[in-house]
Amino acid sequence: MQKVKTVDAGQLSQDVIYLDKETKTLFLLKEWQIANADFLETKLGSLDLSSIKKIDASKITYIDTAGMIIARKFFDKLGIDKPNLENEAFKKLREFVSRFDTEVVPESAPAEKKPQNIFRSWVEGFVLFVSFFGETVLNIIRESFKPYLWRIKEIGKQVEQTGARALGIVGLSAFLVGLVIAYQVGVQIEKVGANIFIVDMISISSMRELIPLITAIIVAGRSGSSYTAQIGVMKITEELDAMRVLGFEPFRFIVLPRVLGLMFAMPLLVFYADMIAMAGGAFVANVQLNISYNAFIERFYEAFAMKHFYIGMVKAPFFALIIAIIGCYRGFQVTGDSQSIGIFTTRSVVDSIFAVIFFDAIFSIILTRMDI
Amino acid sequence: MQPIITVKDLVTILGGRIIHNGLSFHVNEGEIFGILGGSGSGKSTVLRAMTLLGKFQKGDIEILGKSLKNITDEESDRLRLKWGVLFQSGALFTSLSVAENIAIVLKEHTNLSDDLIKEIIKLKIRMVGLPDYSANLYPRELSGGMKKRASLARALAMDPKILFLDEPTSGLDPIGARAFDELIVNLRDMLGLTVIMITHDPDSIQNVLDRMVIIGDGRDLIEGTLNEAKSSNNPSISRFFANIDYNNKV
Repeated sequence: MQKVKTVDAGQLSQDVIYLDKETKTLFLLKEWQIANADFLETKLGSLDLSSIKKIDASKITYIDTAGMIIARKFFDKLGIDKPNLENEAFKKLREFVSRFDTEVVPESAPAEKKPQNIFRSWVEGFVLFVSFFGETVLNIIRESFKPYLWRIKEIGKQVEQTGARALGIVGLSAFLVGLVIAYQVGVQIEKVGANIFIVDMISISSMRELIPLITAIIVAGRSGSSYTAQIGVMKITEELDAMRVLGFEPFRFIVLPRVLGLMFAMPLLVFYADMIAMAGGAFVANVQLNISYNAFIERFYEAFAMKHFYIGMVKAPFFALIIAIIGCYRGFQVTGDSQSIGIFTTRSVVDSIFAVIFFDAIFSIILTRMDI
Repeated sequence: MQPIITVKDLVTILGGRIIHNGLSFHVNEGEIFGILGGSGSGKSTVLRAMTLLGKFQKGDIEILGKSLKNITDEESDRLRLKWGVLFQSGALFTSLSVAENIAIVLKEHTNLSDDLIKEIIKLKIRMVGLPDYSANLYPRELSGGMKKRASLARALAMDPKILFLDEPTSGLDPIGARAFDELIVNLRDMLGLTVIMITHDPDSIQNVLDRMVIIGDGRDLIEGTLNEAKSSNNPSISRFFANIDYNNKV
C-alpha cells in the first residue's frame, strides 16, 4: 500500500542518474535527498551492475545523509569505497558519514535485562500491596492518637471532591436502581397480589446490598481513578521526590487525607443514596401498584429492621478504604512514561471494583453465618 | 549569504499581554544564530511562532521564502519537515524507545524501506554521539545529556535544513554542555545546517553563536555579532551582559 507522503518530492527531478553506455560511466545527478530517497533506491536497484565501470559524482547538486547512505550502500554493492570523481560537497559528506561506520565507544555497558518471571512478579506485587495496605492502616491508627496532626483542610477538600461533587451522579444512579428494582419486583408481586411487600423488597435489597455496592463502583470509577492519575503525574514530575526532600512525607500528605476523606464521605454518600433509592421505589410503587406514599412509609416503619441499614452503612467505610488504598497504591506504581499512567489508572479501577465485590461477598457470608 | 529566516515587525499578544511589539531580525543561511534576552522577554514565544506552534498578530515571519502569515495547512505540513526542533526537556515520546522515536518520523513521512530506515537511525544515533545500545533504551532510562542527544537525533531524522534549539545546554554539566556545543557546530559545518538557538549559557554565547539578537521590551535591542552587541551603549544591553558575566564567575 502506498502511503501518503508529506515530503515534497514533486518538485525534485527524476533524472537522478545517467548511465553513459560507451564509457560505462554512471553519473549521479541533481538532488539526492530523503524526499526522493525511495525513488533513488528503486532506480539504483534496477541497474545492471556489470555495465558500470566508473562512477562520476561531480555533478550532483545536493545530497543529504539519507542520500549518502543510499549512495554508499550502492558503492558497497559495486565493490568500491568511493566514486572515481566527486565534488567537494559530496566528498565532505561522504567522509563525515563514513566516520560513523564504527560504533561510538560506550562509557559503560548497559545492564542486562532479565526476562521477568510472571508468577514471581505477581507475588512480589501482592507483597508490595499488602505492605502498602499495612502501612496505611498503621498510619491511620497512629494518627488517630494525634488528632492535632490531622490535615483537616486537606481532608475537607477530599470530602468535597469525592463526596459533594459526586452527589449528582450517585443520586441519579440510586434513583434508577430503586426504580428498576421496584419495576421488576412489582411485575412479579402483582401476580400474587402481595403488592405491599414491594416495600420490604426494595428497602432490604437496596439498603443492605445494592446501594453500597453501586455507590462504591461509581466512587471507584470517579475518585479511585483520579487518585491514581494525580499521584502518577506527581511521580513523573518528581513532585513526590520534592515533597520528601522538603520533609513532607507523601504518605501523610497525600495518602492519608485521601483515605480518611473518602472514608468520611462514603457513608454519607451511601446514606444519601439510600434515601434517593427509596424515593425511586416509592415513585414506581405509586405509579404501577397504586400504593400511596403514606402507605409506603407506614409499611416501611412496620417491616424494615434497622440492621439492614446499619450493615450497609458499616460496609461503606470499608469499601472507601479499599478504593482509596488501591487508587493511591497504583498511583505510586506509575513509572516514568505517560503510557503507564493509563495502564495503572485502568488497573486501579478494575482492581478496586473487583475488591469491592469480593469484600461484599465476604461480608455476606460472614453476616449470614452470624444470622444477622 | 542570504537570509533564510526573516522576522519583520512582529507583534504578539498572548492573553492580553503584549509580548512582542515590532520585533525584527533575520537569520542567514548556514549560521548559528542566538536568540537572547531576560526571562519573560518572549524568546520562547518567537521560537514557537517560527516553528508554527504559536500565532502572531501583526508583522510577518518568512522562512525558506515562505511567509508564515496566512500559510495553508498543506504548506505548513510541508514546511515543518524542513526543520527540526529540539525542545528544552527533550520531549521524546516516553512510550517509545530511542530508535522508535526516530523511526516513527521516517515511517510517517516517507516510503523508505525498513532496511534503509534502520541504517538512517543507526547513522543518526552515532552522529549525535550516542552509543549503539541506546537505540533500545526508553527515555526514562536515559541521563539528561543522553536525552538531549536522542532528541537531537530525532530532530535530524528528516535531514532538515534548519534546526531550532531551545536552551540546548540547560541542565547539562559544563563538560556535557561544551561537548553538546561542539556537536552542534560540527553538525552545522558538515551538514550545512542553519541553527537558531535560545540560550543563556555564557560559553555558548561566546564560542558558538555567529550572530545574535537580544530581545528586550518586546523589540530587538540589537542584532549582530557578540562584539557588536557588547559595544552597544544601550543600558539594557549592558545590564544583560553584566548579568551574564556575573553568572560566568559563579
